[in-house]
Amino acid sequence: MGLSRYTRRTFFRELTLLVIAAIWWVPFYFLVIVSLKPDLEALQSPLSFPQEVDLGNFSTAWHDAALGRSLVNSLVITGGSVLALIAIGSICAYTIARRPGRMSTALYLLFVLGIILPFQLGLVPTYAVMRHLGLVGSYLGIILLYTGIWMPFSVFLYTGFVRALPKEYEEASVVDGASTMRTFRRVVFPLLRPVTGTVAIFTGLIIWNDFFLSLIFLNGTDKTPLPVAVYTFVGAFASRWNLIFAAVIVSLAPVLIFFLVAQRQLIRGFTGGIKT
Amino acid sequence: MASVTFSDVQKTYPDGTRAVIDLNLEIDDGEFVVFVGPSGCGKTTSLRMVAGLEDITGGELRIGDDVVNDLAPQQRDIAMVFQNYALYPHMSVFDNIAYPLESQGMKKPDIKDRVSRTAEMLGLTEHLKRRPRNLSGGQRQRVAMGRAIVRQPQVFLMDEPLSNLDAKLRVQMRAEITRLQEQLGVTTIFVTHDQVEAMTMGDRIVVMRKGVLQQQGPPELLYDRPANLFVAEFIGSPAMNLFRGRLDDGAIVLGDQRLPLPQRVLDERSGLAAYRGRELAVGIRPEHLVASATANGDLPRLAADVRFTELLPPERLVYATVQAPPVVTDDLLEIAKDVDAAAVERLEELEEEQFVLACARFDSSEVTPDRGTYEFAVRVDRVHFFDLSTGAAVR
Repeated sequence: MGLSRYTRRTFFRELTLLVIAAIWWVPFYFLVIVSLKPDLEALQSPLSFPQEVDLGNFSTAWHDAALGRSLVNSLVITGGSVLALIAIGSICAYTIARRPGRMSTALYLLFVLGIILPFQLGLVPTYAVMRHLGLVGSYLGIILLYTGIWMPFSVFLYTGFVRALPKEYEEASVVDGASTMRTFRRVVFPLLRPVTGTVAIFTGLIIWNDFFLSLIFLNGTDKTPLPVAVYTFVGAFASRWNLIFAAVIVSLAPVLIFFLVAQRQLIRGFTGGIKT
Repeated sequence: MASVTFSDVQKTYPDGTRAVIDLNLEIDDGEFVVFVGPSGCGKTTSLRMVAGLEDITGGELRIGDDVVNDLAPQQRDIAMVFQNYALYPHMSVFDNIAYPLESQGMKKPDIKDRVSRTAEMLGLTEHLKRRPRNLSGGQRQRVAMGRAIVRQPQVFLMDEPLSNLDAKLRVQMRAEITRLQEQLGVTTIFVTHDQVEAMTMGDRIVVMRKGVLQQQGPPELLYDRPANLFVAEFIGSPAMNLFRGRLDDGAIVLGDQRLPLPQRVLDERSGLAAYRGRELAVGIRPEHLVASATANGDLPRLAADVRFTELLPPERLVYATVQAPPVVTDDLLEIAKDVDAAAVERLEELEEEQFVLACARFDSSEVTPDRGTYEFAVRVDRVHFFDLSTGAAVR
């Protein structure tokens, strides 16, 4: 009996899926071809294949928009915010999940409310307060802002996970003589790895790509991250799309490299529970 | 090492549930005590109170000379083995065993030395670099033991540590834990719901029910002189046969059968005098129903209808119905409930039918019919009596 499972039907099904997948590549294709065209060609025939490949756009974009500096800014801001979201969010959720009582429930609800309410509602007073404190245009200010805005989300995810974590590990740790902090650091936090991965990727991507808050709180300073730097080439009367696209590719690169390198760990992080 | 003393210890939860009621118990230094009882009897709660994982709501608990009611678990110098072992899944076996020592702030070379010695003692040396998930059930159990003994605590606490193992491994680990405890001489409290485990491991057994200590003492004492119906039924496998009988003119009356009691027995058990002509619970251990062919001719006979036998060399269990009303009390229903729902139904059925399915333990070489009428010889000198309303032993 032949096990010919790969039928014609399977082939067409695969082909359909490949075609659908290819549609997702179309914007990326345009991103690449426009980034390789000189100014004139980019304007005259943006969608055609480039007649000559001009890698100069990348170096122009890199220099004119100070992409190197912006890349560092993006790394510092995203890295700082994500670290704070993980460190504070996990410990806060641990307390909420493990300390019985109304206070914990109230705090939890407050954080849930933080997810529901749009932060834009409080943008003007936030700006005023931050300017008053001298935090506008600084790393610390924007990191605090992102941490505050995304903390409810982080606490929400961590709390759900901690609640599902068997208490025995912590009990074993305290009976073994460890303090609460040591128990958290050595036992609980490592067990939260899957949700830490989720928090890091989710908030990291959002903060890395955020344009709005960086524009308001950092524009005109030397702390601008990549999305704002890319915006340098957008003018009131003319936009240099080839340079914008080249800059976009540069700003995408670190994220893509990160995903490619950490792919396996990320998937494991997302799917893995606690394995005893 | 230290003694553990419970003085009127109580545990009441915020919703009013009383898990432990006025527990008074003294556990000597180096003693191996087993807490046993059905689910919800308060044995694990008592253990967790010693560990400091549950607040004590009344009374006083001492470890050695120190009152530990308000001490955090870290300050009690105890070690605990959990039911599911609670091995840290992200740490290697070495790190798991080393964890309590690190928490004490011990220096690395000393930690390495102590962990190596412990691992050697438990046969874990070759597994030190592995993660718990890559170990077998028995090996995990040993790692949990290693984590407990490595720091040489004052008291070991074990919360049903054998319940996740298969039957064969359980017997092996039972012996291993007993050997280790003897070797180390550390005061140990072992919680189990398995009375076989309790009988084979402990120097002393503490039987609990609904938060109340029922009886405590060496295994033989609990088996031979149970303080009440609950202990009588709970300790021993197969369980004690219980009949609702009557004392009449120096004889036990079971249904329409009379088992005369020798004068010696009546003299020894002065409490029986008050039950003349009254109903009481009569308990006979399976080994005290003897094969009539080999028994002393003086022993009274009890007619029964053999239903089936189980050959379990070197013994044979003979199950037979005896036409006598069974004893169905709350105590027995609770024990049955702990076995399964079907056991409760069976007990209720027996009550309606007015017969008892008795079990006799014979030597496997004994010839017995597989079915049909049979007369057991009864060791009436070893029969137990209990008050039907209070359940207390009548002696």
